[in-house]
Amino acid sequence: MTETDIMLRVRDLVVDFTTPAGNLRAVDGVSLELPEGETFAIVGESGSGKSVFARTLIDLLAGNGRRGGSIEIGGRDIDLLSKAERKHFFGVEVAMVFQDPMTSLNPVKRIDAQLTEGMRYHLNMSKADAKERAIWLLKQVHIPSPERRMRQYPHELSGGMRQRVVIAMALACEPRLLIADEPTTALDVTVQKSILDLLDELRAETKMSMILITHDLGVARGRADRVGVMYAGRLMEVGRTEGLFADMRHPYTQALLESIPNPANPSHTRLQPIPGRPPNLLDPPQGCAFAARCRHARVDCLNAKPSLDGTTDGDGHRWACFHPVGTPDGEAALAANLEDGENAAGLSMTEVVGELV
Amino acid sequence: MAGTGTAHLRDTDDVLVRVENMVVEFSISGGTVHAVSDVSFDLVEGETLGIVGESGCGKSTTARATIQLPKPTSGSVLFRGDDLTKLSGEQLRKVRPQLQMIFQDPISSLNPRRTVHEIIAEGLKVWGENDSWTLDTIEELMEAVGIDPRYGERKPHQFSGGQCQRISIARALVLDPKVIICDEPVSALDVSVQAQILNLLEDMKERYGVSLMFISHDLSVVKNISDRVMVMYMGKTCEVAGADDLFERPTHHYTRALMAAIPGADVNVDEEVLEGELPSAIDPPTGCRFNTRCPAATDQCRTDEPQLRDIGTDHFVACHHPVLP
Repeated sequence: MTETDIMLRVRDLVVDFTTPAGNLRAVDGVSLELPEGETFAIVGESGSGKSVFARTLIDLLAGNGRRGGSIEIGGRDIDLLSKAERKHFFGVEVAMVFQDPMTSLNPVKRIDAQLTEGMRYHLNMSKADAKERAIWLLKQVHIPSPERRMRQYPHELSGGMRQRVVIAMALACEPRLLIADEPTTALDVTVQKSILDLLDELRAETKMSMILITHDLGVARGRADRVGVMYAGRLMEVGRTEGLFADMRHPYTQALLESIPNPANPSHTRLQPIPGRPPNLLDPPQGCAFAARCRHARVDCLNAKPSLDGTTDGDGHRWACFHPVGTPDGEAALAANLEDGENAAGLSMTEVVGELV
Repeated sequence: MAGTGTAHLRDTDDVLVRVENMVVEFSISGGTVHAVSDVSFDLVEGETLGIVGESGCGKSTTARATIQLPKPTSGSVLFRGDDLTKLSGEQLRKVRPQLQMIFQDPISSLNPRRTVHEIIAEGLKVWGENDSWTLDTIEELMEAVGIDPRYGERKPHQFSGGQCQRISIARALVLDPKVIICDEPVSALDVSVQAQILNLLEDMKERYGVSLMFISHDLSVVKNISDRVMVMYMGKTCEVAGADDLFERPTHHYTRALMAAIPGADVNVDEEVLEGELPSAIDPPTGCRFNTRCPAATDQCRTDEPQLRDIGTDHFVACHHPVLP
């Protein structure tokens, strides 16, 4: 892959927040590369740092946050941009779609004012041109009778319609990178499908790259070229979507997938929850963040954090685990823990494997 | 869809709740919102009835109107033979302990200024102690729902969302109810915690012999927990069937569209994405309410409202043109 093919390159991104209770590391050494035109999904549960990661990419870090590591977008390090370039960058080259379409639109402004604002400001378009383009954009996102919608307020639109407007707004300046933070979480499933279809379609047309933040493994599986699973601020496993789901290596990825009800199973199938809860990031564990809840955890997992680059196969599938699923070493760790009745962190194995045993 | 009819109601001795022709309407300045329009269902002892549909389909209103919050505009709600809609305030108050509810947002549904112990014991305080309700029950209940009884003096903010939902479940169980209405109880939770709560509900159902009405927008969750599922659209019933049967052969076009939209799942349903927007509940379409978005709609669907009919194996559909195998 040549330099120019990489739309986004993140190296060792660290985000710390100063809180009254101490330092909180929300993102802990995330690196990734996103080739042009690809979708990279970041999957994680609440508190995994996925939204902080997304906001950091677009330079929207809260006042008490500090960033370490580098972010290159389109080959340019965002720390080396001048003030004027920054303004152009975040708004034109990079755009963001947030979760809640009600709060990301201004309730007291009509749709036309909100849609044209960015184009007037960033692209110096005349009012008439901006309006014309806004109507064209609303058509692109499949909003019927766009002329009428332009004169309406957000509360007059349904949730799905509003999210389409937000997407139209994000696309107004033809960004090369779109960051979508849970774009469909607040929406019904059938609307979710149509919004995700729309994003796919627009992406194919414009060759835009996308970071898709989601808590839903199903969404990631169906929509992304590559997936990164995030936990406690770290990427636990990264790979091409098919490869990752067909052959998952990290016990967390496996546990996450097992905890979701699968509609292919008969009703009343016992679910396998993940016992315990995520570590307190104010006082992070010394070893692997998942060790306390992991069925594969051995003593070495408690002492050092496995790095994501430690293991690699041909397809860019990487995982941060000392005893990965589906390897002789991982199976041995699991067998040894079952033998002991608990993992190295003292978690009873009956809780971890439930009725599988 | 958007059908009416009572063909799916059962006439067995163990019917606990039987709702017939329930209508709930709200008057607003622009007219009348038809939230629930002629919905019937029943719940037998020990059963979990899942009610699934998208926002605005009336699933929560149906559940709430069942416990008379608010009272339905018309229709009857029989609970162990008594018509709740006809009871006086005091009579209704006496029945209410047997019908409990769990809400979506576990944190805001608990009083932040009370201790866990006070929250769970509130019902006992209202009703006074008797032989079956003692303080042991609270400790035992906390244990049963997976909250360490030593934490009884803590307040809700000291617990995670999943733990708060466990406390809500304990609170619902303390008066030994017959029916618990769960309104999107896992929608605000992470998947790993969601699994814990779903398992807990199954255990509690078994242990305390309650029946559940489980409201959710998530088909996979509903399938996992339910015995019988009712699919709703715009205040009407589309399809009623056993959970496995419904997923094996969904026949209503709306049910099929919902299933096809489950992200990333290998569901073998070939149905188009729904076009268009949900019509206004103030002025719902005539005939089948789904006709404006249904791929199979004909003139008949625009004039005649389909009735729920039996298509075998205790599977009922309200559609003029269902997809039959």
